Amino acid sequence: MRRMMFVFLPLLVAGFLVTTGSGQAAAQSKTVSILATWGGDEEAGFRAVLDAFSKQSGVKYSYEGNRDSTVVLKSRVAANNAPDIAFVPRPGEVAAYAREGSILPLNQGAANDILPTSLLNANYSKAWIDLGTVDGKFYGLIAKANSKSTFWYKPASLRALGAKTPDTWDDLISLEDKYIAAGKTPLSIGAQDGWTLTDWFENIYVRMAGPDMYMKLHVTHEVKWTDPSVVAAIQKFIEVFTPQDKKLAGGVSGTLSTGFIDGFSLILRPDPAAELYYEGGFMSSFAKQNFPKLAAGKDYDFFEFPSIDPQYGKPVVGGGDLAVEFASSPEVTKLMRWLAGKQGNTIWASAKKGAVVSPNKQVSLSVYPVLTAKEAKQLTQAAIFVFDGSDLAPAAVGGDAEFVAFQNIIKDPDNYMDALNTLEEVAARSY
Amino acid sequence: MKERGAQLRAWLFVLPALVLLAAYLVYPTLQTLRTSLFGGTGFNPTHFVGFRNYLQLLTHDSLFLRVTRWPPSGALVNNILWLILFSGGTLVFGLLIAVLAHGVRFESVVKSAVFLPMVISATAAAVIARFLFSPDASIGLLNAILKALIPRFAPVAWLGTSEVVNYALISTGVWIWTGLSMTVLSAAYKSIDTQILEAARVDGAGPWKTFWRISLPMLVQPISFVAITMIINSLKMIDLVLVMTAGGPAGSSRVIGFTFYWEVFNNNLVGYGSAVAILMLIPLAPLMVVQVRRIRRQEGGK
Repeated sequence: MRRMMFVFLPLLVAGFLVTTGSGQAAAQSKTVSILATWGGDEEAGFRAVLDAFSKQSGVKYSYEGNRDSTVVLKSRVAANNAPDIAFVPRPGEVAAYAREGSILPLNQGAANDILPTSLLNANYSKAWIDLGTVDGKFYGLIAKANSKSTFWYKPASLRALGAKTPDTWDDLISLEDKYIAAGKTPLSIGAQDGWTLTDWFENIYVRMAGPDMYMKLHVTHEVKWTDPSVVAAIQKFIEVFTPQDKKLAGGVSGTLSTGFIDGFSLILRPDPAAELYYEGGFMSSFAKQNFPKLAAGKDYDFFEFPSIDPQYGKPVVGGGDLAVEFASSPEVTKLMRWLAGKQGNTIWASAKKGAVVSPNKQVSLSVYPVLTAKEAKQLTQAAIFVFDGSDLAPAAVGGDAEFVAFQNIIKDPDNYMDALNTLEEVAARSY
Repeated sequence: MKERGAQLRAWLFVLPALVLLAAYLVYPTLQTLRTSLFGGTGFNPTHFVGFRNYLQLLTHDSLFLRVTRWPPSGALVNNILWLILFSGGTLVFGLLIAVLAHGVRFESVVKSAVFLPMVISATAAAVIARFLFSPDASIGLLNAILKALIPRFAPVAWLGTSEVVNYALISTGVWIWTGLSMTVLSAAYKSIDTQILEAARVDGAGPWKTFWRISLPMLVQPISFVAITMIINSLKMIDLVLVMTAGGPAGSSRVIGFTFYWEVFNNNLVGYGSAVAILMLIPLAPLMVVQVRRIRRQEGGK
């Protein structure tokens, strides 16, 4: 035993020296830790941005992609073990972290701001700056954005029907009827994922009630879920999927057990179960993975979610991820500025895999591939842009009660008022 | 003097265990109890609400408990369904396979097949089951079989129909956990002294009577062990529900464990979720005590 000690002791001492030595080296240039939800192609695209940053600045990074990053982040913040930078998909959570003091203001109009006012104003329109601002200070940097006002169709299927892409809601309904007359099922919805239904509702609601009412319903709850404007939007929504047996692939229960990816696959597969599918622009990456032989823009394409009230036209409902900073250091500041700059965003927007639509207005539209350019154009030209409403609402409402309410409406459209009353009950105690 | 030394030594021996228990069991439980009395969002609850969380859970949360409409529904009711059908199912199938496969030529093959789902993780098994239940007959095995047998059969979306989804989930649970039940009961069945069984046979008892009057009474101990283990499993069920349906459609397949997870991590209502956890603890705690007592008794008997 004692002899063993003689062997181990020097080893331990040596090990200690080595670890402290490397610790000092790391202190000279801190490794920046980043947590986000992205894996696969999305991660590859983001890593291209980070690698270019490391190469230029010499700052190392460690990236952790976790499908459950929201949950992971929450427990790590609670355990005082937050990453330096995290990407949060809900502006409501940015506000929550900001108010509990977990994250640092990136801009508060001071001289030594992490992101100077001049940089922000040169690269982002007011809408995006407002999105990241909590109580007068800027906390969340929009890193990538996407449109959720894209309606997917198959050009060949439409041609066979002799129809055009619908411009208005009535066009859409009559397109559905044409499909039914041709013996086809028009629509597929991935309603097992309740958020696909909130996306449907939000597009309809913002087109009928306008962006002000939209924000009042989701952000401040000044408009109730039992409001006549909500009821009118729900009745519009019901038009598009009833009678369910004729209009929905798989009927009610099939729709309720179909996830958002499968819903799209149902219209793309060789023996399609439906012809139209609504979800965001990001669906094209799933089409590419699941149906590599189909050509984007040719075999499948999207039209803008049809307008309902000409007064509002075709507002864009969108999503996005906001970068927030938990720990301050020169290295983290450098990376934050890179993420807000033209160069970093151009790399991200033109990545070979996992390219994103950058809200940074310095990025040229010419860097995007076919469908992404179309989406970027929609985003930059939109007269009205609203953030995904369910992401703006408290999680208990926008991430749970809305899902349940809309699934109940798919199941039992006649009793939509019951569903809305229950939803309002949850909303009333959640704001 | 000598006695005090012995006592001190005894305390020293149990001290590490006590410290660990206090740090990882007693403290978190008390903390959860405290948190459950607070409202608001996030892990640093801000305002004291007393028992309001409990009140809301039991009277104003239709997804947790709804008694205003017949039949009653909600996570609590679903969990009772789980408790009865899951525990009963694993027990009956486990016992059936243990007894019927006993001494058969392919016994080890049969048992391996039944035990297989226990070896893979519950999440993986849940993904497999999702495929099995798919409404698309080209993917969903169950619908494909039914379609092959009944020509006019229309595929059923097992996981998309509120009235069916709980039974689909429970049957998946039974499929996974029967392996454990079978293994325990089979070992106990094999340990029954063959002389007793032969004596019964000599006295003229048929196989049926031998099973009911001799074997079964001798299996009471392991059966109650399996039953309690399965009841505990059913009360803390979460993984199958989360992976297969995420509580849907329209919240109709939620169970208590799922509700706890969902309220804390999806809805960010840590206080409210803690109240669910405490409600979950109420039926679990006495069961745990019974189980631990039995283990102690068995070890004492050796």
